[in-house]
Amino acid sequence: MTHHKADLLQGTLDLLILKSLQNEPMHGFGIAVRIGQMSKDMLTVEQGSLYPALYRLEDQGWIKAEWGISDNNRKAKFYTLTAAGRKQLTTEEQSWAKLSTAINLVLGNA
Amino acid sequence: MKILRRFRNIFRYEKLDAEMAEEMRLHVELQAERNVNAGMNQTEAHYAALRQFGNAGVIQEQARDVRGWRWADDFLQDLRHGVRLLLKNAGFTLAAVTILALGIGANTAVFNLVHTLLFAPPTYARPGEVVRLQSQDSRDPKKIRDFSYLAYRDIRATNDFLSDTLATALLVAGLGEKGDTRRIASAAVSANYFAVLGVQPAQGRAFRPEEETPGQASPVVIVSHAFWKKHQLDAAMLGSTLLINSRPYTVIGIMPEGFTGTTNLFFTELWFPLGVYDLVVGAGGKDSGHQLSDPDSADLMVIGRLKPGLTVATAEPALQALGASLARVYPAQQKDQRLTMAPPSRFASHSNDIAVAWVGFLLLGMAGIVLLVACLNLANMLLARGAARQKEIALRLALGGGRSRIVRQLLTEGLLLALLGGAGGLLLAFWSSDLLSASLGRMIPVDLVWSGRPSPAVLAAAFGFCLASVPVFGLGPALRLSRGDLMTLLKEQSAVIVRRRWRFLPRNPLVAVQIALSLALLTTAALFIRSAASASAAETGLKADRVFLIELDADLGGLAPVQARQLYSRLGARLAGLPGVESASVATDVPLSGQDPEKRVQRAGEGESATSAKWNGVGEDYFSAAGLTLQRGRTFSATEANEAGSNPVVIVNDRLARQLWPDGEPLGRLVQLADDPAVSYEVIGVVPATRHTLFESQPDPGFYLPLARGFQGHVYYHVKVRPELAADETATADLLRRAVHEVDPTLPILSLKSFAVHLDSNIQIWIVRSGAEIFSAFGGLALCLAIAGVYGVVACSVTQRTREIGIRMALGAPAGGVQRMIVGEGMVTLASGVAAGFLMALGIGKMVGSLLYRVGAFDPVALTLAPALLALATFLACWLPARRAAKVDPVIALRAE
Repeated sequence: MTHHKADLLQGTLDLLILKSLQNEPMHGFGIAVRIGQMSKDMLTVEQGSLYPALYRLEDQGWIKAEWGISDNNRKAKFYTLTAAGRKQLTTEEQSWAKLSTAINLVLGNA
Repeated sequence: MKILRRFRNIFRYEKLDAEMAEEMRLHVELQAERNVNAGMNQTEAHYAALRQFGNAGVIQEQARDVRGWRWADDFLQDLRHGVRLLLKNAGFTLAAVTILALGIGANTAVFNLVHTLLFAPPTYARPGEVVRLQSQDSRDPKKIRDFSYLAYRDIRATNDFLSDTLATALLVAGLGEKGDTRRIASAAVSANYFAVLGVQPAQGRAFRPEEETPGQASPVVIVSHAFWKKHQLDAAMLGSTLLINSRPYTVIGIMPEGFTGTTNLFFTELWFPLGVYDLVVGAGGKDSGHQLSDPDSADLMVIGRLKPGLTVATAEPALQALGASLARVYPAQQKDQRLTMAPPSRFASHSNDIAVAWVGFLLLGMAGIVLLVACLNLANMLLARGAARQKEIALRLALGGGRSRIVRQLLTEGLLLALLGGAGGLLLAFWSSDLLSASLGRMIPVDLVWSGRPSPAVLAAAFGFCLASVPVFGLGPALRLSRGDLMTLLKEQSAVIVRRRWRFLPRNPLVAVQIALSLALLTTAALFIRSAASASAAETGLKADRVFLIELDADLGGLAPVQARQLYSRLGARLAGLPGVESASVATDVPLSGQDPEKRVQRAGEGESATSAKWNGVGEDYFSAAGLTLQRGRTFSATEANEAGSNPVVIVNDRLARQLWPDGEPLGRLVQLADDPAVSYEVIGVVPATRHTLFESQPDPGFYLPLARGFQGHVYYHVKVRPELAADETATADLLRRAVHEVDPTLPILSLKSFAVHLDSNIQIWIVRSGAEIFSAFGGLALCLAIAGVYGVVACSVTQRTREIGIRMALGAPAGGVQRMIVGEGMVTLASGVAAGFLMALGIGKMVGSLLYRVGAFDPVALTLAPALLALATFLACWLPARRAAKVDPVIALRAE
């Protein structure tokens, strides 16, 4: 796990996935790439561990999956944020904001 | 929602799994392309992508967990493993399934019966509100009767606690063409009957108020759906004409499917308006019957619907007020009467629901014991087989298999066995239910709503029995086997030499419990068998071994009483004149017919001496034909028997004579019937008393009227034949049937059988006999299971202890000693089982005491024979393996390991 530039906190992977799906449906690989881009490669996930998380979110009803055709003409499974998922994203963003403010306060950085 | 989705996922398992693999493969490919773009060569890029992805196998496993497949995955795996194991041990599987099928089958059959009798809801609306009113004699609380039509009208009009009240009388009507009459359960009902019950005809109309008026003979009838079905759902049924008691009736309605009227077990197939009651019953022209409009009659069941918010308890004061006002209107009929109110009986007009419920629960309990014995037995078998599997299980534990997983797998195997057993049990149950209902059908001339066909409730019950049995037989062995004492088991099963400190405790408590339960069942069976034997030997008081009974009903043939009397007189002469017939006579009653009508009789002019007695209207040759020896006096002359206007005479039995004239001479005395005190009958003879019900300890007081005086259309000809005719029952029956038809081809013959067959078909004898058969079956089953269990356990222990036995013998133990040791251990188990079972048997005996006939609950014969049989069988089951143990060659036994 040495290639991890920053370890993910428990539960934050879900937030990252939901966030990356905010604008458009994406397939699994796309999500991994997007998370890298968004964090300027500060955060990389072990790519495989995306999938159990995706299925868990699907099971919760926050995202839904459909087969479609990718940019380079391959059959791929695309994940879309559902209405419930959008709500969840807002909730998680808020609680993350609270948490990070609180931690920053504790660390004296604010 | 989530659960549903997960459940659906189980069935899409393969597809979803393939999709997941495909998705991950794509991911790796895309990453590899990216890597190539970043300047790696193909192979390098591919491996790098795989590394970046992580361990695909582990990830897929995690993903499956997320989707809730782990459970399903394990279950399917266990199922496959279980099926393989069961197929591999076909012998074991067959034995286990058979044992379970017997246990589950017995329970399902009994449940089917009990469900129909007790739990199936009545077929009318909101049964909770429906109550039946009756009138109870406050001097003799056992005497409960119904009401006259007039009383019903008053009850309906004046009560303030029932929202509406209906009246009904259950009847038997003769349907069909002259020679071929079918008796059919029917009911005469008030016009509001269907409205009060809340069920309207599916086709046609209900009765109109004017059709209810007594004597208003509108010939209309409403039929049940089952009746319609018997006529192939003929579209022309509505509006067609049925010939009932030789009169035409128009079908004006058909009830919806499933509606059986106010009773559950007996189908009511036809409903008549009360207005035709007299016609259907045939009482219209009876010399001494009650017409519907007669205030002295008490033929109508009165059933009402309580007003909302009232219960039987809260309506009690209103009921008693109603009783008081009835007594003012009918001072004669309602004198010393008290009204009672209760939910209507589910079975018939006069039966004891609590007694039936009690029998039902008793049967369920017995069947439950059989299932318990079967489960214990199977648990033993699983333990014994588990011994052979211990190494497999120990290996799995050693390789890191979880204990709960192993228990789950063993239970899954158990579930498979239970389901197979359940399927077998259902077949067994339907077969035995059909047997039982066929045997009951022989007894009762009307249709029964009861069959062995699967109903959802019965299927659910069978499935429930399967599920319930799994933990009983499976959990113990599974826990025990999975405990796995790793190291000892993985080493060869070396030192299984048994250390036992408590030698007097049974080596195998499961077997002891089985023995105890079987003994309880066997003892019950023995009580019932003894009871059946004494019931068969019951004396009616008649010497009727060569007598045939011909049951006729001129009312059903539509004959008026005068014509019927003449016909019966001609028929009597014709039958008596047949070759081979010694004597023939008509009688209105035959002992143990289940009808046995009573009249109140008193010393002439002394109303306070009135007492109830069985009566029988008989022809002049009755006493010789029926084999009843005259004690004193004379029998009826032909004139007295056949002419209504001749001298009023009566013959009494000795019980009635003693009751009326405790210390005097009965001959020449005068008696009156309480309902017709105008006529005084002279006692001309005394005969021995006869027995009319099995359960009475004393024969009943009774008297005989000449047929002309005590006439009814429904009669039994008693025909006494010579021995050569009695030997060939079929030919004699044909001869008699032809003779009846020669005299009147239109007269319906309701039954024709020998007196012995008549006794056999008595319902009380049937109950005792069926009890004997059912409990013998249960007891036999339990005995076989217990013996198989004992044998299996002892044989298995001998095999496991071969080495121990070998050492004992090498050290000089004689063969006989070894044999004694093995048998002795079995006997300890037997003794503890018998001791416990004996106590249980005493308890059950006390509970079933009221169902037994002339056998005490502590019957010494039953209480000796059953344990003796059990002990003998158990001894054999121990002795056979013990003999094998004694033949163990110490050298071979010790070398074997």
